[in-house]
Amino acid sequence: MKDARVAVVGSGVAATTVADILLRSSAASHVTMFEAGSRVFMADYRSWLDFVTKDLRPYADGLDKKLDIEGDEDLFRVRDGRLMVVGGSTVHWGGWCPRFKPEDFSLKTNTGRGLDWQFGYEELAPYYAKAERRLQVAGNSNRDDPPRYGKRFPVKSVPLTQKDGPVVQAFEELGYLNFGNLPIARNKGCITTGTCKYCPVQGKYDATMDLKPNSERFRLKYNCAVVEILMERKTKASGVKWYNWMTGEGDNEPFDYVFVCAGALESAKLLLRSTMHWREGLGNGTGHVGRHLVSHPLIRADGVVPKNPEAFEQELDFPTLECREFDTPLYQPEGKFYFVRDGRDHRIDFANELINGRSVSELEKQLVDRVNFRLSGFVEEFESEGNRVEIAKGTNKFGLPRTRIVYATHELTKKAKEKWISKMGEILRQVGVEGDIDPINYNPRCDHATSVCRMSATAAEGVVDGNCKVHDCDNVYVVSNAVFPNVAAVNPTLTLTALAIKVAESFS
Amino acid sequence: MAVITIDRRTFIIGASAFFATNAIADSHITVPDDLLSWLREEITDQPGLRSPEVTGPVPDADARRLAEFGVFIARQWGMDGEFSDLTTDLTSYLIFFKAAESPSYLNEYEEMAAVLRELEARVASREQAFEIMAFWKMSPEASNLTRVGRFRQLVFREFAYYIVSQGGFKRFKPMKNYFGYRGGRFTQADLPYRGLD
Repeated sequence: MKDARVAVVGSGVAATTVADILLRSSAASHVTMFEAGSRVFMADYRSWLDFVTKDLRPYADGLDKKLDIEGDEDLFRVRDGRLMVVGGSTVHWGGWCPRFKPEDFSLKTNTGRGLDWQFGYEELAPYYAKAERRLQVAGNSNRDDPPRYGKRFPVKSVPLTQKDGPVVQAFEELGYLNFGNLPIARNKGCITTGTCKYCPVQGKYDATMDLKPNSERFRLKYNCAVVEILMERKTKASGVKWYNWMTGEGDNEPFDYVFVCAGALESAKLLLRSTMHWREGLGNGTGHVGRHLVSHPLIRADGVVPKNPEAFEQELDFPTLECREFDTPLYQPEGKFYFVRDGRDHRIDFANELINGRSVSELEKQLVDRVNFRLSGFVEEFESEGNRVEIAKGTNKFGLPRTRIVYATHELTKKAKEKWISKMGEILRQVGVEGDIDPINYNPRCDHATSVCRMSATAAEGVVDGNCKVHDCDNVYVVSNAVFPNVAAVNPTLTLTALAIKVAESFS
Repeated sequence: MAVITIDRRTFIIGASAFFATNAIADSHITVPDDLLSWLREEITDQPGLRSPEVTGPVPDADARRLAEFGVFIARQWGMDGEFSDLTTDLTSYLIFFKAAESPSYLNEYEEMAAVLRELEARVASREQAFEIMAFWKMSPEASNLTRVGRFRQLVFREFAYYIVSQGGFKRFKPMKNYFGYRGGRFTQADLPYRGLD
């Protein structure tokens, strides 16, 4: 493996993790990282001021535009989800870092649906601990579901807020005792600005923090879309064809190994358009590339408690209280549910209210008159027959093919959404909510999309093996949410990071 | 001469007044016709920043006038003193950063300071000029191409968010942290937000 020239496609957490480990271990002599998007300067004070005073996000150009997508985009949201910039979607992510549960690795065995992973939780557990260190996750080391095997979080948990109190009390009264501090990527530099969508001090992990400066052994080529993986023969890639949409330059560049570390949709699309020696796309001999698309429907319940003598109000931008009571094997056949107490969107926008003429005394009264409570969570989704991502005609501004989504919600998932919205309503009533409870039912979003290059024992059932190497191809790997055989009920980023560490260390 | 009603929800600042916010609900200011039309006069056809590539320091007198406007609205809302570090120095910091780097507000700030200067010359006092630019309830709202609309968009609105985020929110007791406030580390013993005991 030594002295290998490696191409890494993408610059998000999987890409930077793989590149970092390959370079440190000298498994790669040179790594070239290709990012279709542009560079965003992180922790830039002026950008932060614009965010605080104008709600301007400096990475907005990296979001998809409506014209970039066709098909069922309204049912499966691509816009506003993923981000095409250096650092990928970690640049705007929330930093939630729950681990998958042991049962998530054996969905087919347990329910007959989807596929099992090619390894179990116990095998991934050491890499979860390493991933938590890499992302500087703050968490409660004393909670042991899922099991931690004695490994501690690198940062102590973010203490619960006062506003979590009524929800904690409701959980206890209802007997829902599997709750606690949300594991979240907030490092010791976090100064709780509440501006987590663009942090002035990088107190939240983003993948640019792991980018090494350009050197003899590492090159970052941003604004560069990888158009195709070039094949010497069916079982061996020879390099990549790239195109810089900013300068118009492009080249066919030789590499010994290619690691596809883009988001789920773009990883699948890159394989589909790499047709040298693979007529239907690289790794797509059995038609699984782009298929089996699932993600997380996000559901919420909102309600108002008509008194607030303690002036509870949202003081942090991120949630602190999670509940895994319904993220257990018991609920796996119908679709598990993971949720938090949320509330950022309900914060009183004092400045806007004052600008619009409300008085300070009116706002003081509002603060103690009533308080909103919101619970938000993800439902484990099952694949509806035919769900897939495809290549559409034309290209987007990054020189990548447009995206076509074919998507429908599985009947079981529809029922699960209804059930869990009702459950959140029950909890809100216990909190003291009176009047209407407003259910909010969002369709899945692509930043949690999985399974479109799924991991399998053989090429007959999927695209990559347990080491994320494309079946029947010796030197192309996919390290992306795309390889997850299922989506589970929690955010995928920590699991992706653990997987990236496992794959890179195994390669090394 | 037309009589313009200014929907005052707060005190007008006085040189050494104690500002018990919200104590005064209604007040009236008369504004000459020519001032009304002057405020509503379009001064550009560009909704966005003009000359955003031209960076540099805002002239001292202009920066000071704008910073004083920021402190004025902080006081109107009772967000000065114990609730905020909002001084002319801190407001000047915002002005400096918005002008020194692209997309720069330099051109806009110079013009908005000139608007304040001219308005001051037309009304009884600087405070009255500040009040008009901040709290005059226009009906209909002027577009952001006009003097007053543009001032509201680029100065008043942004200053308001800055003031609230830099500690002004503490006016709403017992809040301890808020969007944009650098409260401190969650690892410290004295939590920078209200925690669950």
